[in-house]
Amino acid sequence: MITDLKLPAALVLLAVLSLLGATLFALNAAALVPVGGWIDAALAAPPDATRALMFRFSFLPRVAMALLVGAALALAGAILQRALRNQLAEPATLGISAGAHLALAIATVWFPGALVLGREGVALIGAGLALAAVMALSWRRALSPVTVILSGLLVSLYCGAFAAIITLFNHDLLIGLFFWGAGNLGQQDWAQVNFLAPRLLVVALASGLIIRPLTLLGLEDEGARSLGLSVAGARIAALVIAVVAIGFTTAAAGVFGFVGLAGPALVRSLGVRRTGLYLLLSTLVGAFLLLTTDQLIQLLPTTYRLFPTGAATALLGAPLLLYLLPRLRASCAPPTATSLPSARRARPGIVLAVATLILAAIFIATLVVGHDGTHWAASSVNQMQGAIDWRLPRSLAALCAGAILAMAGCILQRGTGNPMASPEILGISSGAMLGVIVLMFSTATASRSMQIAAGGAGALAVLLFMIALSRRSGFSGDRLLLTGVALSSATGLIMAVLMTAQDPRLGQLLSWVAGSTYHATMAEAGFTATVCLLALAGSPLIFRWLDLMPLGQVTIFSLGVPVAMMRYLLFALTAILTATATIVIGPLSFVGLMGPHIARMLGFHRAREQLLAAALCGGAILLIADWLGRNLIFPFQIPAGLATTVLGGPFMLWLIARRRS
Amino acid sequence: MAMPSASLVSAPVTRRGFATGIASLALAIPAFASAQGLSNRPRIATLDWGSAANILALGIHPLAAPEIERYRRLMVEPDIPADVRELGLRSEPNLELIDALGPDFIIMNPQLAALAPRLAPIGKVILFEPHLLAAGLLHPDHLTHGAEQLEKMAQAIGADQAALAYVDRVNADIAAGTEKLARYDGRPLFIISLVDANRALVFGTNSLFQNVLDRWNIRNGWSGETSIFGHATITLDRLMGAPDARIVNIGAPARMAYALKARIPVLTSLAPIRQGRIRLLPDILFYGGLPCAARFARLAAEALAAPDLLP
Repeated sequence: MITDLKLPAALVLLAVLSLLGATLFALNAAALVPVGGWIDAALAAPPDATRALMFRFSFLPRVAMALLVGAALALAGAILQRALRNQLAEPATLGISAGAHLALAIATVWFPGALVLGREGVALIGAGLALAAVMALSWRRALSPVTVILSGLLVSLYCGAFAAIITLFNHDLLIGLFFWGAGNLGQQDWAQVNFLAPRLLVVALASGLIIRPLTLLGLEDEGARSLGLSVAGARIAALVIAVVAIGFTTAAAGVFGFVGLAGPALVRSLGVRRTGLYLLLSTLVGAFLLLTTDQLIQLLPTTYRLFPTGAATALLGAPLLLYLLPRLRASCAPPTATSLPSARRARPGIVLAVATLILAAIFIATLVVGHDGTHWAASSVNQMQGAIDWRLPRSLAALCAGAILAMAGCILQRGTGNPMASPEILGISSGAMLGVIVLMFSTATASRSMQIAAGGAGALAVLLFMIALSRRSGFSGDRLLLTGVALSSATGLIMAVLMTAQDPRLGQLLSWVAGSTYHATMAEAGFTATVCLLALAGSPLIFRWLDLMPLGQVTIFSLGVPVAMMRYLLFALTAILTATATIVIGPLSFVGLMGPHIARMLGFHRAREQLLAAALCGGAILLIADWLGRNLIFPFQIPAGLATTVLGGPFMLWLIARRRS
Repeated sequence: MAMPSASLVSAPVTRRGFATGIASLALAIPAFASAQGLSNRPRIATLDWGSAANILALGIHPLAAPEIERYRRLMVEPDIPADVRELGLRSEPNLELIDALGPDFIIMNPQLAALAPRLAPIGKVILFEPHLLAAGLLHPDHLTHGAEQLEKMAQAIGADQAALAYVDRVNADIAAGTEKLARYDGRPLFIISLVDANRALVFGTNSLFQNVLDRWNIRNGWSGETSIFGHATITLDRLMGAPDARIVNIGAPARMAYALKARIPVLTSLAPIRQGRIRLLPDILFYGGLPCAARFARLAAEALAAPDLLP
């Protein structure tokens, strides 16, 4: 067993966080009620003393909620990261938060009566359904980590895409939901604390019982089995405990990203290994991290805007994580399979050639066939000019951007060995998004070229930052992905603030963020196509590297390949590809994640086959999604990025479910 | 239920056309054009609600407007006629449909300026921003700006007289409020829009609504910082600053009514609420120029002229 030499470091972190939290608490409380009056105000406040009432019914319960929510999410994150042996596992990964969020969005827009049940009831139903879906999908694979994470991620994306569509079409009605979605700790009485505290106590006791099985789950499944553990049983127990914690927290307080990821990651980066201690410290760090963040937010002069705490956690957590990441050692064995096993396909070359021809036919069909609100119609010859003007840039941009993102995803997944890796979480998209947001709010009339320049500048800034990081030792693979997640949390914060501020410019941003080809011009589509063709033409140069990557660093090095150089080049390539696609079609499209998985599940295993098949799949998915999005509810349009998830999600789920174990 | 969501659900039904045969766009468009009963009036596509409302205020039927059902719910007036074509989301008005309709003028908010070069070959593009977006102005005059922009836009489409008449009418509407509120008790107003049990949007001295209040000599109770559109999101306790104020809540009246009934501690501790000085108004958009100001003037004058109710 490894001893915990780093316990003092963890205690120092904890002490600093709690001290900071307590100081901020005192400052904020004193601003509300003078120190001497705290006890009186807390016990009884006269009904017309607004400040005392604030202290008793808003400030104090908020402190309690911050501690409870932070603790619960970090504990859940720690359990998930152990049980699924993936450092990126967190509450959002299993689709729990997304399920709860979708259920609430549906209830708010279509069944406001259901909210009489209470927000908690609706959210719990959503969370439960999401978990049931994940379990059903991964049941036949005995809940293996890769399958659970992949199913969870898909369910999460799927619910997220549906919720995003509802948001896009109803954002005028959903401001209350935005606050909840952004992680809202505001309280008006003690009801939510009373709801959450006893339930979380049960969760905490239950997690004490699974410490030993969790330690064993950190090993390979085979190893754990040989030690007499029922792997599936232990994993179910761990997942259920984590989900119950997340479900109750999400129901009461909304979606808080990052705490569940950052809390355990911080503890791990300090070298704590022993499961019991790891769970305990993660819980405490999570609680104080959220409390400190929340108190910090209340300290800000909130005359202009209210920062939602959940989103703001990234502000504090991200720099901390960035600082500690190089010190992070892989504490558990990484998942062995980079993806799901499937039979290899015979004669991949012929299959790919036929698929290319079919894709070309689909491409032409998307130009000719359309819906005008009453009929489906094929354009006649003299209407082709109009069709080409309006449809060609969009179809071409969708096809090429899809192919580019899928190739980028393929390189990343092979390079990092993490099946959750995708260009969308690399941070490049976040950079482009930030650039566009800054532009949107600094000028009233932004031309398309200014938008592209701003997006490009943002993407480039992040790109250089990430490349600089990747050159430093200690930053590779999962660590870069974690950095990307930290960066996306920062963008998430800004989006959340904009949503809760009800800015009239929100609609524009929501559409672009949702991955829309709406604004693509012929010149941009042509540029994307050029990059796509260059990437395809140049890909043979990296086939060998991609085939070697899964063999591990030592083996590759012994074959005479300059490993560091290879990593660096592959990463730079991925980043450039991602930036190109993001600028044209926006940051949200999960083809980068789905393309490579679908290619592999269809039986394309070797790098050259997988890369080409992924490009074809990615291009086809985004192309068809864009076409459906343009026509299904004409004249309304569903952004291709969202349509992709709605369309590609079920296909991948079907592939996962179809596979034999 | 809102239209966009409804059409999500009903899409499969309207697609029946696919089974019955392929009818070309070429047949559909002229039929539609003649149904419009085209006169010599300008054919105008409006790409956002502000433009649509202002065009309708001039007595002109636009060919098309975006998110019409949502407009009817949040904007309400001027009433949008049934034959106006739906253009889709405000953020992405359907370009192919605009092209097919072939309008003479395309009127849109500068937020959509990126589309201008692509729309120019279809018809004359007019950027229309009735809200005075000037950062740093403590007290911008949105009414004058809105009137100027409307007159400028009307000139471009040959409807100058209609614009002048409408501006006069709006001024008269606001003046009618002055008369109605002659015996107003002078209390400052918090104009808010309740979001949830703890939060509200509050409209400050640089908002469109304030311009109307100025004509009535009513002070705003909120002096904190606000966005360029004149609003800010706040927690309710921040309304403590002016205990003698009156509260006007805009939009979602059911939500405020419920919050009052549930007696949420912080909300009900506020002096104006405890003393029944609250008014509930239906939805009014806060950045659409004169039509929105006129709607606010009419509804607010009526509500403020009524006596306070005891809680």
